[in-house]
Amino acid sequence: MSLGFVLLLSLLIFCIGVAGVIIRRDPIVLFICIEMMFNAANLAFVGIARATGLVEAQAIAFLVIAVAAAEVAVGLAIIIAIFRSQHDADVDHVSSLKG
Amino acid sequence: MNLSILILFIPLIPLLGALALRLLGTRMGKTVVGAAATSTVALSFALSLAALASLSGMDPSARHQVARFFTWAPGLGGGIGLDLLLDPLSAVMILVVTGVGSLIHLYSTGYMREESAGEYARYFAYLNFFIFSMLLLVLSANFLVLFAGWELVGLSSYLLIGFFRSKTSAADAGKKAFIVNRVGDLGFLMGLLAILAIFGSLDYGRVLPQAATVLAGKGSWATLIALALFLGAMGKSAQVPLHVWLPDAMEGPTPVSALIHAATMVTAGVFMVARCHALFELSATAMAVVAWVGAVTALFAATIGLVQNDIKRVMAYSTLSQLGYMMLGVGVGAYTAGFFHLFTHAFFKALLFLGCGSVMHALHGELDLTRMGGLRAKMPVTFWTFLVGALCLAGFPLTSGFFSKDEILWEALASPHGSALLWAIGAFTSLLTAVYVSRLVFKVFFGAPRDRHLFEHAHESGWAMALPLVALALLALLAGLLGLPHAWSSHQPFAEWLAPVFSDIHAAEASALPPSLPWLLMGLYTLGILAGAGFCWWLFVAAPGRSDRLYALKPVAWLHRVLWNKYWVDEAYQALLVDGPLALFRWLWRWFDQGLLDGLVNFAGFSAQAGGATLRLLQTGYLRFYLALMALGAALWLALVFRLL
Amino acid sequence: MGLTQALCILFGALALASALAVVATRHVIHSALWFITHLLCLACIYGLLNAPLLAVLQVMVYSGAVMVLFLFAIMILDASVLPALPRGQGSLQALGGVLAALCLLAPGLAWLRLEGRGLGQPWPAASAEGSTAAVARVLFGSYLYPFELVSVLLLVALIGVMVLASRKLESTEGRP
Repeated sequence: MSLGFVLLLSLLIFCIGVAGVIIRRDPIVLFICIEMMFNAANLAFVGIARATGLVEAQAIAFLVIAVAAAEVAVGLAIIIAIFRSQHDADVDHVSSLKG
Repeated sequence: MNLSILILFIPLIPLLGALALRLLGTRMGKTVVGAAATSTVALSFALSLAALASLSGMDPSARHQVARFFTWAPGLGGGIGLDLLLDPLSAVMILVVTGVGSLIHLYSTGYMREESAGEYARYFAYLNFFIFSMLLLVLSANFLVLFAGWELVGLSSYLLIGFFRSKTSAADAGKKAFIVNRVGDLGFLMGLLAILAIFGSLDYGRVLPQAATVLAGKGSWATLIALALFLGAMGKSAQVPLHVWLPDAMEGPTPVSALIHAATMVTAGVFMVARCHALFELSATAMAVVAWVGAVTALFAATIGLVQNDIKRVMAYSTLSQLGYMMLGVGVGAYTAGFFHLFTHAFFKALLFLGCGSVMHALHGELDLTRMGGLRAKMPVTFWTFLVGALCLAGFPLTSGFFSKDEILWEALASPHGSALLWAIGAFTSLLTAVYVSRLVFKVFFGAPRDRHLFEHAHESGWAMALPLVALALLALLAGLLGLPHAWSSHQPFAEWLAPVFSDIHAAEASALPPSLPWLLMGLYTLGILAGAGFCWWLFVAAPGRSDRLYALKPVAWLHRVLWNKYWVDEAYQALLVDGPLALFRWLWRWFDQGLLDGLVNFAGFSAQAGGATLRLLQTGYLRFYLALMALGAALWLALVFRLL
Repeated sequence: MGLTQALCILFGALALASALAVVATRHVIHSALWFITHLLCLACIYGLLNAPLLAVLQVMVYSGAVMVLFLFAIMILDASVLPALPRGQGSLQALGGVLAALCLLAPGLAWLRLEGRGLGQPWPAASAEGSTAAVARVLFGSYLYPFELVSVLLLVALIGVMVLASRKLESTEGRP
């Protein structure tokens, strides 16, 4: 049982999250994958807390959860605001910034 | 009176006159303007006479008075500034310039009477300015003042040729004169710089007396300097191939042609060679070039003058030819002879031009001699004075032209720098001179008038124009007495007067030519003149239509065409120097300026656009694409941070 | 291999599997549910890693409140019209995405490899350091300032959500 294992796990989960964000066109699933990335980071912090004995890392993870919660609330509000009146919710359709 | 002040006032008075006339002339009446302008020059003439008297009162070796007025550059070659020199050579020149000049001013008061008051004043202002410039040139004591005068006469010439501002041809002619002169002046300036470099000074006193010692052993430098200076003379005195401006200069008023392009400005080149003879004597090559260029010019111009129908053009080519004679004279070392011809030529050529002006005035500006004829009866004064001038030009015995031209031809044969070929060219040209001037006289004054209407209205000119004609005719006849050939008289006032100036030339060895040869040649010339005149009479006057039949012959017609087109020299210059380079420049403009430079500028714009268009491909507007790029960016950054890349 | 370790590996594998499932399933609801599973696995791992407070908070806040929000959102957006997994041209994009993720994976792995020796050490014995009291001591001690700021952040998020919800955003883009 080592820190390396935890960090590896965290890395893998993060990369799955990245892949999911790029692959999926559904805004909700996109957002879920973003949350997944947050969790991966949290996992890394907790692993470090255990390995080094620093409690501050757990405190950081605590604050991350709080921030993620706030962000989910606002993000979902935005998604709902944009996609409520759409017939189908597709992230690719929000491309008015196309240059 | 202090001699220096006297010398200063000789050019100064006409300058002040020019300024006053230009600034205030419109307010004075035409009579006042004319009188004022003529008086300034007449006053200068009086002062010149006083200077001559003063000089002749001195010992011959002391006849070299330098008056220094203003040091412009103390460090340049030991101090250079406004320095004027009065010696026998410049004394003769100022007398000619102011004397002939004042006669021509008088003539102009009548000739230019139809101009408006403003134009009248402008004309006289420029004419006075010219007198000032020419006096500055001949009175110079250093090369800088000489050059200043040189350029100023060029300017005056430009202003006066282009005097009739409404005529495009006049403006073009003025430009042409100035530009061709500039080519010569380039050489002149090179010569001056070389003199400054080698002698360290531009003062005559420090250059000319020491020329032989300083340039000993540097033969190529001597040749270079002499040829460079001669290039300037070629421009100013219209030698081939820089002769093209003089015929066109006839666009100016006729008195201008008389003064500037016959008597004075164009002789500046000859004057300069005579003044710098010390330099020219050091290079046999340069002397040969001068002599040959002069001879070729004389012949070349005489042939063209044979067929021209514009009376002023005939005179212009005649001037070119006579200038060639003068150059031939100084080129074979006969400075006195060449200068004497300059002296006599000033009188009879000015006379001839003024006579042409008189004829034109009577016929309301008509120039074409094919429309003239029989004016002998209508304009007696003009006719007789013109005839005097024509005889002098042809070199008829006992006229001044006879003595001066004869002297040159003799020296061309006898001088060590001369040769029989040069003499032959000169003699043949003399024959041609007789022919073309006879043609002119016969066509204008003899025979039946070709245009009845013009003939009816012709009248003799007023006293203002007639008086100078008579005065010049007298001068033309009597001037010859100053330079009778050695064979006739042992007393040559002109040569003796100029002796101090040319004393440093080694006298030519007594030639091995037989003593009776001069007499033989004189007889030959006279025969030639009579033959030429007789031929003309036979061709043009005796039986009308005979000349047309002659011209109809094939070889004659071809020759006529060549001469009529002036050997196509102007056309050659146009093609070579104007059209050719213009084509090159247009090509350059197309390929370099438009193609390359504009292309570069356009490319800058294009590349900005292209760059933008390329970068715009990244702005797809798709969120997921942006996220993917962010992921790639983060990966790259990580790799760099962990030093993997 | 101790019990802790074995359980860690088990829950780790489970977390990975459910993460993959989140990305791979067709329906949104399924994704959400798989994500809840993922979160619970992580909570267990936290517990095993001597972070009991975080484990409980993960369950309560994350898989509790946050996922409920997600489910509400799915409910508001008509579920039947949410798009399926990419097909055809979309699979090329998917491949691109996977490649991007792999590009991210590579340096991470490389780093782990390099630092591997330092990371392989066994942990010190579990102590009372990870306990709630310890965390509270840090949070209300040296990290009081960030703690208070986060509460302000939550307030701001609250206000923001209310503003966003009350306004009617008209969007003409995105209409097929």
